[in-house]
Amino acid sequence: MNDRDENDAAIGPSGTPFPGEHEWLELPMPPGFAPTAEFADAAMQSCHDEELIADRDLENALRDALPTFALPTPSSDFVARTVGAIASDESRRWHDLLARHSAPEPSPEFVARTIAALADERSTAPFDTAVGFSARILRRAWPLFAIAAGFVLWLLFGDGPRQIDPFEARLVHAERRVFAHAFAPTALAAALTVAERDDDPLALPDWAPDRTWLPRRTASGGPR
Amino acid sequence: MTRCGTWFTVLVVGTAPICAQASEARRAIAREEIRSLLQRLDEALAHRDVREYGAAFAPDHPGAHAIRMKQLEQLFVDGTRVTQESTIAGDPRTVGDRTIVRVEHRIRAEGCKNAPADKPAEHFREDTILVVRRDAAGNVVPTLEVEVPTDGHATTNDVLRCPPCNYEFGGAPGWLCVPALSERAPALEAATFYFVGTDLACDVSVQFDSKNRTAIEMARHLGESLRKRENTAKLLDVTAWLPPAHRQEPPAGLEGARLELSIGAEQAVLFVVTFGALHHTLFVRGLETSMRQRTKNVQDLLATYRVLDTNADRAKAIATAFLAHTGGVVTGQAYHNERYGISLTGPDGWQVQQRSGSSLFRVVWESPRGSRLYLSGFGSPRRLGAWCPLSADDWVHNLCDANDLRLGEDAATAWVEHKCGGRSRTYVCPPRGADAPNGPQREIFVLVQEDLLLVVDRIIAAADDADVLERAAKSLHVR
Repeated sequence: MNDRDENDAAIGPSGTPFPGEHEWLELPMPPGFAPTAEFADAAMQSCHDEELIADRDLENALRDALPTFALPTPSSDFVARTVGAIASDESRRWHDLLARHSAPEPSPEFVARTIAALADERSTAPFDTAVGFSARILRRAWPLFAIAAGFVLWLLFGDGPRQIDPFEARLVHAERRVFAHAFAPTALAAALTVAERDDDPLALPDWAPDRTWLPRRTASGGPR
Repeated sequence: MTRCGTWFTVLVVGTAPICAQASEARRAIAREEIRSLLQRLDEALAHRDVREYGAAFAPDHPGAHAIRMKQLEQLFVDGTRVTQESTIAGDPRTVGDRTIVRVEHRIRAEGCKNAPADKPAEHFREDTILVVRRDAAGNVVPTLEVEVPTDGHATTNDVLRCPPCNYEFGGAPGWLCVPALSERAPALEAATFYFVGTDLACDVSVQFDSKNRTAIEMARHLGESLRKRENTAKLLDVTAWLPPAHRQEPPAGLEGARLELSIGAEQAVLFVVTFGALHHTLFVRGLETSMRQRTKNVQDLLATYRVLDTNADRAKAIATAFLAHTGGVVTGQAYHNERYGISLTGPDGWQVQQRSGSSLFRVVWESPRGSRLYLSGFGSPRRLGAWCPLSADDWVHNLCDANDLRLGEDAATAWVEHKCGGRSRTYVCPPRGADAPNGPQREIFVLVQEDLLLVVDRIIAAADDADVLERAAKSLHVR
């Protein structure tokens, strides 16, 4: 029942218009009625009891009725529709969220001021913008360019990057080249010669002469 | 043209060059192409350009390549001009995409600013094993060149079999056996197996251990020795190890050890097998990645190692190995070498041992008081051809320098001519370093023959030993 029910006037007893809800508390008491505190308490208790009974009845009814219902089989497109709905909802919420942060359109004054500033800078620069940019890069990064140029020159005219010698080659440098094992293509020869010296340090080396060193020394007249 | 047709055309046009290159790289390498390559390399040497020679290579094994370049650089000392004429010796053979050929180099070296007037040019021969492949453009590219002895290839089918040293090794697929030059290997016998087309190699060496160490002790000793020469070497782990061929029924007295090493970016595993005092050493090495990726290939090679006679008498086995490789034999206190016509009888009661270095032979007698007598034979350097008093004198000084012995100006006696055609002199060495002035006296007697330099080195630790040593030295007989 609404407060402004237009039919209210037609349903009152004895032709008397039926009061609206907002008027009920303003109605005068019926003649000869004097409500006591006990009456009010009894009325309130009665209402409360009715609510309890209604709740209990509903609970009992549900407890009895629900098991009798079978779980319905979801339709074939239930999952797709649900996921679609969630995604759509999510999308809409993101859209709303982002819309609140969208950048404002630049004002015509802002555009005019920026164009004027760019035009002013171009007129004072010695080259066009692209060249000016390159010049600035060059000014700031010239040490790097110098290093790179030096590296390129070193690659072109120097020996280039030195390759690290394999350890067999390093052993050649460690040996006296008069001895043939200095040119053995394996480090095992070096290990064996060191082992031999450790085993008998008094003995003269039990090593053979290299084919090239000795003739060269001999040809030059030897050490004496 | 339909869309399918267009894609097919693009596919064919795009892949055709790749297929053609792959096919080109697989094309067999003809003898004539190798000959042409050798000619180019010879020309590089004629231009005195070892760098150009080396740049022609796409090295499989950087270490072996670097050493080869160092060897060639030695040819050009003191302004020497080198003319090399290389020819193919034997039939090329193929392993995977590599072709392997033995090459004979006839070298003429002249123009050395110190060359004697009567010998302005030297002629000598070098043999190498050359490995080549064809690149994507179809060119023949050398990948490995290792010098080998000129007296023939001692192996068959890449199997190194030495009954006197009592072992067999090699023959696994992909492994190329390259015998080592005896003067470069401080051992009775040595060779290197290269896994063709990679940086993997395995050295084999047979030596006598004068200290009678166990395999584990020997492995550690060699590892420590390597570390003294190469300070990046790290010894990782030493464990007992037996060759796969003998794991089921290990022969009595056979023991082995395995030592892992890391050397910079490279990794090595040293295997030592001892059967008496004769040690067989296998040294597997390569880049860490190659070692990891080629474990199976290494295992295949190791599986080929076997002792030939597991019941051999130890002492006899050692004597047999020395006799085969040095020509010498010890009977009682006497040493006799039929190959070089040498004999010498050492003092009674002294311990006598043969040694396995890179000289032709060495024997040592040691007294209980510490006196010693060494008898050594040195072959003439190949390029020198024959020893002469000058070169012998130079060589003795080098040996003494390496041993911190200083020979004075008047240390040597005059040269004496002998009936055998040789000439001799004696050097008297002052006591050295920390031993001076009460250290042992030392006398070094040298006898120079064309193909042999004989050195008798006497260390007199006790005065009572002087006469005995004198008598022993005088027992030297040269045929």
